[in-house]
Formats: sequence, C-alpha cells, structure tokens
Amino acid sequence: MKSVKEDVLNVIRNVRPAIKKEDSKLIREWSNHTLHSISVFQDEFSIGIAITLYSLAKLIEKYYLDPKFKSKWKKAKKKILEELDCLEEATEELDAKEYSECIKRITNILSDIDEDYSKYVRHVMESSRVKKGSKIYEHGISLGRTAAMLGVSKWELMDYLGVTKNADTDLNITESLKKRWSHVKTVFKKEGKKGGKK
Amino acid sequence: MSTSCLLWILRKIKKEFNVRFVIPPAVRRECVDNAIKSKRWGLGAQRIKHLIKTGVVEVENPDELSEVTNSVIELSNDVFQAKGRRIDIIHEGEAEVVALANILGAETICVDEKTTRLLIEKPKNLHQILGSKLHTKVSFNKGLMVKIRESLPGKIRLRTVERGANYPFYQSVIRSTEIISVAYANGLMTDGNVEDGSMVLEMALWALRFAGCSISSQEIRDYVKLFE
Repeated sequence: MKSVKEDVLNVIRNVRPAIKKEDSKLIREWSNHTLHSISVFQDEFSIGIAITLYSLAKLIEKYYLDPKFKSKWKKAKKKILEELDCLEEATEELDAKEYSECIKRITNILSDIDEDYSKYVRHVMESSRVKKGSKIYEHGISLGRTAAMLGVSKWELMDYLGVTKNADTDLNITESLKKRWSHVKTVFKKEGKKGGKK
Repeated sequence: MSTSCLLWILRKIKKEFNVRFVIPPAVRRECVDNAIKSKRWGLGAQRIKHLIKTGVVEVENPDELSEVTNSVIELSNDVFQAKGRRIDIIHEGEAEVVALANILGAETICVDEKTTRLLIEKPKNLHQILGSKLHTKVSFNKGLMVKIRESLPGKIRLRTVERGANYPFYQSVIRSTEIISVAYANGLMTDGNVEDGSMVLEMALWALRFAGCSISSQEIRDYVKLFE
C-alpha cells in the first residue's frame, strides 16, 4: 500500500496547479497516473482519484466557454481545492472511509454548480468509470474483475470496448484461424458425419 | 450475441449438432438477473431468460462448483505478481465458467472476453501484456500453475507452456464468433430475415466485435477468406 499511497499523493499534489489553471488536458493526464496501481492493487484510493479527475476534466472541457458555468465554477473550484486537502490527509492516513467521503463531496460540489449540470455530472461519472475500465482491461485484467472494481456492468463495458481497438493487438491472437477452426469442427460435429463445410 | 440479435442461432446449433449450452449461476445472475433491471439492457436479458426457460441454455450448479471455482480463482490470481503483490486477474464469474466446464467434462468453453481466453490458451501473451502496460516487472509463477493445474478435473486446463509440451488435455476456448461461423458453414444463418452469402458472415462477425467480443479485424478477414 506504500506504493499506492505515494502514487495517489503524487497525483493530488501535482494536479492542484492544473485545477487552478482549469487545464483540462493536464487534469486528464493526471487521472491516468494511477492506472497501473488500479491494475495491480485494485484499491479504492487509486480508482477514486482517477474517476474524479477524469470527470472533472470532462466537465471543464464541456462547459469552459459557457459564461454561466464560468461564474459558478470559480466558487466550486475553491471548494474542490479544499477537498483536495482532505483527500491528501485521508491518503496519508490510508483512511478509506474519509477518502470516500471526500470524493462524494467533490461529486456533490460538481452537481451543485447548476441543476442542469447535475444530471450531466452523473452521466459523466458513470461514463468515466466505463472509460477507465477499458484502460484497465487493456492492461490485462479481465472484464468481470474490471467491472466489479469500478462498479459498472459488464454489458456497459463490453458495449464500450466494442468500439475501441482493444481487440486488434497482436498478443490477442493466440493461434492461427485455421487451427482454431479445426478445433471448432471437432466440437460441433454431426454424429456420423464430418463437421461443417470446411 | 444478445445485443447483436444473434441469439436465435443457438437454438439452431443445438438442434443441428445435439450440443448443450450450459452456464453457471454467476453468469445467469450477470446476464439475466442483474441486467433485466436495466432499461438499456433489459430486452437482451429477457431474450437470454427465454432461452433458459425453453431449455436452449441450461443453468447447472453442481455441489462441487464452489470448491472448484475457488481453486480456479486461487490459481489464476496467483500466477502473476507485480510490486510484491499478486494481481487479481479474473473474477468469480469467469472462474465459475472454467470450473463448471471442468466438472461437466465440457468439450470447450465459450468466452468472449480476452483475459480468460489468454489465461487458458496462451498465458505467455497475458504476461507480456501485463509487463508492457504496467511498465514494471511482472513475475509469472509457472511452477504454481503446473502444481495446481493437475488438481483441476476435466479437459480445460489453465496452461503455462507452449503447445507441444506434454499436456494431453489442452483445449482451446471458442468465442461467440466461432459459433456464428459454425452456423454459417452449415447453412444455418438464413432465417428469412437475412440474405445468404459471405456478407452475412462478415457483418455478423463485425456485429459481435462491436458488441465487445475480442476478435481482431484480421481474424474477421481470415474467417471471410476461409469460407470463400
């Protein structure tokens, strides 16, 4: 857990300037920094910060040019930075309960920016989980394990994975199709007949 | 297959080849019981529920399932380690599929997701993926696998070495794409709703790919060529 603590503290401390500057690209990059920890340790600290920062980056990207958002965002930003202090402290203590409360408060701050944003924030948080899930699946963790870790359904995750190029890596192919097909024919054979056309 | 509207093929395959499609309780929970509550996935879950109700798909829960599942989980999740810690690779549902197949002496298992398939067919590839993605040394406990794999009954073993080694019970897994290809090869893809022809196969394979099946674009092209 020492490694997890170091990783998460590193992210929290370094993402602060990016949040102050509203640099969504940098925030999004920092949200990826705990992917390795998520894959190995599968802990709530790494998962929580990854999802929250990714969602934050998406919200800033969507609403940055909206004047209505800008004025409300200033107040929200101040509160989020305060909650980052809380996150940092909870991580130092490895206090999972307090950490989870801080994450919840950040989500509420984002939802409270505007009533219209509230539904969008929920949607963004959910889709953030699916997107991070696809990255973890790419790392080699199974679909079921990834879905369970992030609290998403396998159906959602598979639906998203289908439109990625995840399946196109060379390492995904374990044998030639001809060999695979010859095994398949041994499984699906009609009694007394050779299986299939080929 | 549910989201690609291709489940109807299972009934035809079952009839044509006199095979059984069996799932463990964990898969039923995920595919039916949990999904049926969702507005988005509920219809797909209803389709699967109907297949279970009409006996096309059976749910089996033998007494020793829990014990064998735990063995599979322990085996799989101790194979790879990084940063002084084992990496939990697979989930209970996936382990239960392998466990059930072993208990029933199944000829093969059907798994669309990549990790379980790699763990059975070529764990060396999974080791490479983990190492390259995690940017850290990942150890591969081959000795443990050799020791524990002998305790799994049946034909479907998690394996550690390349083909050609002395493992007589090796079987590869299939995906839903293989089931569709079998249907196509045996003229079962026509149901009055689609035209026959190689386009049907290609489009069906892509539909499964877009639904999350881990088949590569190259493999889809190879399948189309195979049947040309």
